[in-house]
Amino acid sequence: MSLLVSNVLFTCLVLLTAVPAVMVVITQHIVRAACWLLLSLAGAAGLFFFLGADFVGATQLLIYVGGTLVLVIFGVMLTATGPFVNLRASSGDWAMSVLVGFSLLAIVTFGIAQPTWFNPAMFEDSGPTRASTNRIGMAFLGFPEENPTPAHPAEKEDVLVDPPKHVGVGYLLPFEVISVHLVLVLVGAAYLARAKQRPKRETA
Amino acid sequence: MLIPSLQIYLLVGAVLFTTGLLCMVTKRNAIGVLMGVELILTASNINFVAFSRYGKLGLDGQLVSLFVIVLAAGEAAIALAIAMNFYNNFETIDVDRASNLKG
Amino acid sequence: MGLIWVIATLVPLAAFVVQILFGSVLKRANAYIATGAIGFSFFLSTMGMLWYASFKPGVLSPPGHHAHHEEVVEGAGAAGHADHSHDGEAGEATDHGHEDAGHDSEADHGPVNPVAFEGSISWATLIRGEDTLSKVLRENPALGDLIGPEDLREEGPGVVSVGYRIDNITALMFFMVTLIATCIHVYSMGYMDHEPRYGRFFAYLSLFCFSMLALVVSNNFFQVFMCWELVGLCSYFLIGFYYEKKSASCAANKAFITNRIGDVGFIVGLMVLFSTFGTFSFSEIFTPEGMLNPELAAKADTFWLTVAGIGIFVGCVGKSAQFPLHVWLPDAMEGPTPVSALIHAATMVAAGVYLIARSFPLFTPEALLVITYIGGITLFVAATIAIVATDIKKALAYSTVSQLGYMVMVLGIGGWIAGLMHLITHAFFKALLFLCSGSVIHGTGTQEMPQMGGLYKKMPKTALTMLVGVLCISGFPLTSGFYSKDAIIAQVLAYGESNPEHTFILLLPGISAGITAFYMFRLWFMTFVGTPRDKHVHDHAHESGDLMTVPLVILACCAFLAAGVPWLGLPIPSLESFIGFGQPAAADSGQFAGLTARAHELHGVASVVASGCALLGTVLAVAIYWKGYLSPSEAQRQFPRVYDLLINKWYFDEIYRYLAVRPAMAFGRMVAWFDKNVIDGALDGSADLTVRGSNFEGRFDLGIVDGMVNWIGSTFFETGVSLKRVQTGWLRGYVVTIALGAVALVALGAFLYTP
Repeated sequence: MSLLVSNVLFTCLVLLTAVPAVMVVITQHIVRAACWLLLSLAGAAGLFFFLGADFVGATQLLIYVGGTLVLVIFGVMLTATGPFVNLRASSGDWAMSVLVGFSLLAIVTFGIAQPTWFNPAMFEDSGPTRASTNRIGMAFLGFPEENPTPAHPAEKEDVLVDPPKHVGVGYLLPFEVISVHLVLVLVGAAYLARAKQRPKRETA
Repeated sequence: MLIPSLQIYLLVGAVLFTTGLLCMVTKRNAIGVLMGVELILTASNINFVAFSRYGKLGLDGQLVSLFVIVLAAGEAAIALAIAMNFYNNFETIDVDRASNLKG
Repeated sequence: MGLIWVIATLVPLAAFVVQILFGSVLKRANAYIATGAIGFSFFLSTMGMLWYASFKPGVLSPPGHHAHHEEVVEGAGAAGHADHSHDGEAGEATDHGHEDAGHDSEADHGPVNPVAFEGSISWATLIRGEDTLSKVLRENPALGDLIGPEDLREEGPGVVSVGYRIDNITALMFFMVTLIATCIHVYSMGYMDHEPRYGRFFAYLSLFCFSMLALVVSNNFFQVFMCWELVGLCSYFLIGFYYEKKSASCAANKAFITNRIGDVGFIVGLMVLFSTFGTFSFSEIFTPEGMLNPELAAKADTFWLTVAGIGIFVGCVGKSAQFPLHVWLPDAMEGPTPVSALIHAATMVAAGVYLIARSFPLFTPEALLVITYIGGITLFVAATIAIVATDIKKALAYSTVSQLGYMVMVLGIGGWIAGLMHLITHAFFKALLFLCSGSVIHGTGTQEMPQMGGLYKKMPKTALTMLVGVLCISGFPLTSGFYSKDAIIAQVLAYGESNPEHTFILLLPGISAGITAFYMFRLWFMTFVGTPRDKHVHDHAHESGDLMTVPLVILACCAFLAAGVPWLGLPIPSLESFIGFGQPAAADSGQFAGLTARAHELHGVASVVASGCALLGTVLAVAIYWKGYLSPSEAQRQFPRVYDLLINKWYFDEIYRYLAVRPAMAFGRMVAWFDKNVIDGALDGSADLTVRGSNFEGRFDLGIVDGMVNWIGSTFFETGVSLKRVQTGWLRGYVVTIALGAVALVALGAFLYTP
């Protein structure tokens, strides 16, 4: 992939991520917003791929685009209140939120542009980190990378030269915690979203 | 024509974050608010992965973003359940109406 | 065999229990149960008396034959006695048989133990029981020589027991009580016929009979005391039988309280006695001959012995209505008339005299002098009050007091036989008189003699039987009262001979004998003779039924014959010899040595004196109340002060009111004032102080403690109120705020950041 193509693709992906995001805000129809969101999230997945995080990107696509968004659309459909209900925020809200949002964006952008916190030695462009699922799985399970030999010798320079010790600590415990947490969350969700039961009012 | 660099990624993340925030503020629909949250989470994911790519912290960023994705899924599920219940109880999805606890 | 008396005692108790438990079921059958029980007791006591006589033949020996008995016992001096007895037989044809009797009585008291049967059950140990040593000795009498017989006693010292002790006095009293009580039970069945609480009346009577009989048979002072109190309790119940009447309940209270005063003395006496002797038992305190047990007497101080004697006598004063405490007996006439007859004439008041006689050896000469004077004063005072009494029962009540005074006085001067004789004879004729008066009241419906008169034709049986009673009490020859009063006067004369310093008090019995005859005939004349003074009462009057008149006739016979016929010298036991058999040696030794014999010598004089006084009184009564030669109202006008004194009963009630009741009330008021002002005041003050302190503390609490807490609470509340506006419930606003906060934070950081 040539640098030019790569740059064009990157630009497209950035635009694919940012513009639908803005459209999500702007559009008033919730279903359209969902569609724009779909595009934005897909763009973000592309950016992940571009960053060499294949597994994260795939997960993003699968879970967000394939799962969460479907869920959101289901929610939209289940809570549809008809075409005449106006849920538009007032102009004052708009003005204030745009003001706040842009000031925040300005501050963040200003921060990004600041060179003082940026240590080039620390953040040198080391190229995309090719992280195979194998490695991620190993990291999850906590196996230390004693020999961080790259999967492919050609990509030797792509691999972290100096694998940090803490990788060996692993993510088994957070993984476990997250898993249990998810189970609880889903049980809670199922409980909340169960068939509607009118609370029995005590007749006097 | 943009050249991939950490700053660009962070900028994209910032845009996404801001739009997510605006989405949360301006949408009166509860589902819209949820979408805003998703955007903010995605923004943070982009930041994590970008730092993972450009920093020297190895896979940590990617792993955290994986956690975030999964948590976002859970969050979406429970948020939708809350929205459903809200809708069931108030016959509306307007978050401005959810003001029973106001002081 | 002594159990026959025990059974006879317990039968009325059983009857009482049955009546109390099943009274509501039995109703009028109560009367039959009570009467049957006392009748059975009477039967048993008759059997017992015969048994006693066969066991102690000496008691039955008529005066002339006593000597033979004495021979067996004494041997020595038998010839002299035999001579006397022959004299007695020789002189039987004359009326001067008293001297003979005197000789015989002199022979009476040898070392003869009148106690035939005795037994007891211990139920409480005050000091200590029988110790091991004495138990061993009792089981091995052979060892007794080493220690001495006193350790072999059944009872250890300080053991309180309940038991019986049968001697001639007990047998006689038992016989008298059961006989009179039986008559009165039968009479009551007629008299109480229309009364409410008919059954309860008989239940009380049964309890009373049990108490009296248990008192008579008891062998120790403690049992006497218990029965004494029971008797008093029954008296209380029966005086207050018509408790709807204020006067009756007051009279019951008066009797009870007055008796309590006497009982205080009795208890003091008993305590002194017990702390001195360590025992209550008669057989331990007294020797069989009737002296104070020399062993115990050696331990005792004369002073304390006097205190004990006077204490016991004070109890008798209360119970027998003697001089200072006599006021309750006339008021006790509020009870039904049979009760008056049974309790307040025949038995209960006799208990005091009986106790004096029973504990006679205990009394020191000083105590006996007190007894003499109290009795003398009583007999005179009561007799004078009886002169002016118009209520038929009250007149009889004062007469009772007076006669009891006779007994007490003569006991005080050593006339043991005379006192007990008069006790027995008086019981019969006073019961008779009361029942007759009851019959009159029953027939006329009034108790006031001025409303009666001329009732003889209406109720001849009552009138005649009452006449017998009047003759007896007045001491007319051949009647029982004659013998007993004659014995008293003889004793008085004999005592006066040797103790001339007490002549004044010794004149009283003679004078009172005349007064007695006067007021008794006055009573009879006013009731039965002359013209009817109240037409309505007279028309209403009727003779009582057989249930009432038959007991009257029986009692009249008994009253007439009670003293026996000693002067005839016939082999018939006389009352005097029966009683004299058990005369304690103390009554004829020491200061009284030879007095009994001297009294017998003076019988002739005595009978003349007594009969003369009685005749004088009778003549006066006839002159005033029958023939009307003298007008009683004239006499009243002539001696207004005397009349006032008498009609107001010597102002005893007033004196007591001023000396006892008013000071008590004043003291009570003082105590009440003290209570109300000082104690209550102190309490109120402390309460007030507490209230003030509490108020202050309350203000402190409310102002400072609560104030602080409330201030904190209200401050938080107000803060919350002001802060709650922040909680808008506007969800999107929160997001804006968060973002704004982030922006502000970064802006602040940038502002503060100085590289």
